[in-house]
Amino acid sequence: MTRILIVEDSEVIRAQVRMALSELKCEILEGGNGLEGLKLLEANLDINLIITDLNMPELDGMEMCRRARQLPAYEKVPIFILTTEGSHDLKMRAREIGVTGWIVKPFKPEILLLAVKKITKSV
Amino acid sequence: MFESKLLRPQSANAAHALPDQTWSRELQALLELFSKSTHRRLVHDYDVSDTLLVFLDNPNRYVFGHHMALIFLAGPCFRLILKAHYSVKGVEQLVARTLKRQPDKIEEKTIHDFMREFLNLVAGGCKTMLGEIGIPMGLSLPLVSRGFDEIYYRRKVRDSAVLTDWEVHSELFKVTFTLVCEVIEWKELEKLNVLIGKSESPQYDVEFF
Repeated sequence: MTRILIVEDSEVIRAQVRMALSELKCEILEGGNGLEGLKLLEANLDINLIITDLNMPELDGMEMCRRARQLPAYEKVPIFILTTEGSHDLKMRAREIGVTGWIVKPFKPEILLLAVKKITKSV
Repeated sequence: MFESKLLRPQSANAAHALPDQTWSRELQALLELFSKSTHRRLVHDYDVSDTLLVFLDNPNRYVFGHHMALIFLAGPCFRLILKAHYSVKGVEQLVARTLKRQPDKIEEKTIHDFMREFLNLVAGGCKTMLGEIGIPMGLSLPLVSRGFDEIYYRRKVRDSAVLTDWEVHSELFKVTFTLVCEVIEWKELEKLNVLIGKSESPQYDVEFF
């Protein structure tokens, strides 16, 4: 079964992502900030996709992604950034870290679902 | 009609006061960018079709709400504080609909979370637009606080700061917004010229790297 990690400080957005992905047969793990996300990654080495916000307390999403890429199990696992921001500079930084895709909030559920289906099939 | 009320600088001799008696069109464009964004988010992103945007003639008459969400943006040109004043009852219908739950199943903390995220959406989108025209801004995490001072004090701001208030309301949502803009570099405001008459163009596609 596909395992997806959602890292997002907003409970409302986490619920919206869960609803959007409800038709997939997948297990969803949730973290409320980058630090929690990193702990979940270290404790679960078989996560197939990471969807993360950028601006979060404790540890931001960009830094979490950078540290995740240093874990052997997560060198190549797809990562989507889900954020309100869309600046060129941020996208460039994300690209350098090895992020797979960028989704601007608020997302359309069907578009997120399609992107997740596409990426998890290729995993 | 889209008309905003802006406070003028209190002193004509102030170092940062605008040279003439009217606020610049650029500053007006900035304020409209944020106010229209709060409205557009509701209409397009939350599909609330009967939403109205109303600028407040005399904010001193209004009690805004029991709670306040706020977010800060700061850059070399100006600093902004966007606030949303709301009560739980004024937002819970929309939150319930968004989460496909009954209103009585929505916890108060979820309402606050929704409002934090709403401000984050508005400010994040505006930040992106400002960045595209060469005005980089930093964005804080959104906060929620209970109680606020705006109903108790006269609405006087510094010479370099302007403030405007508007309300966005529908059957599902009733929130008063305030935007405080403190200008640091008046000359840099010229960059806002290109925003006049424009609004955000949301991007819904996933961008694969």
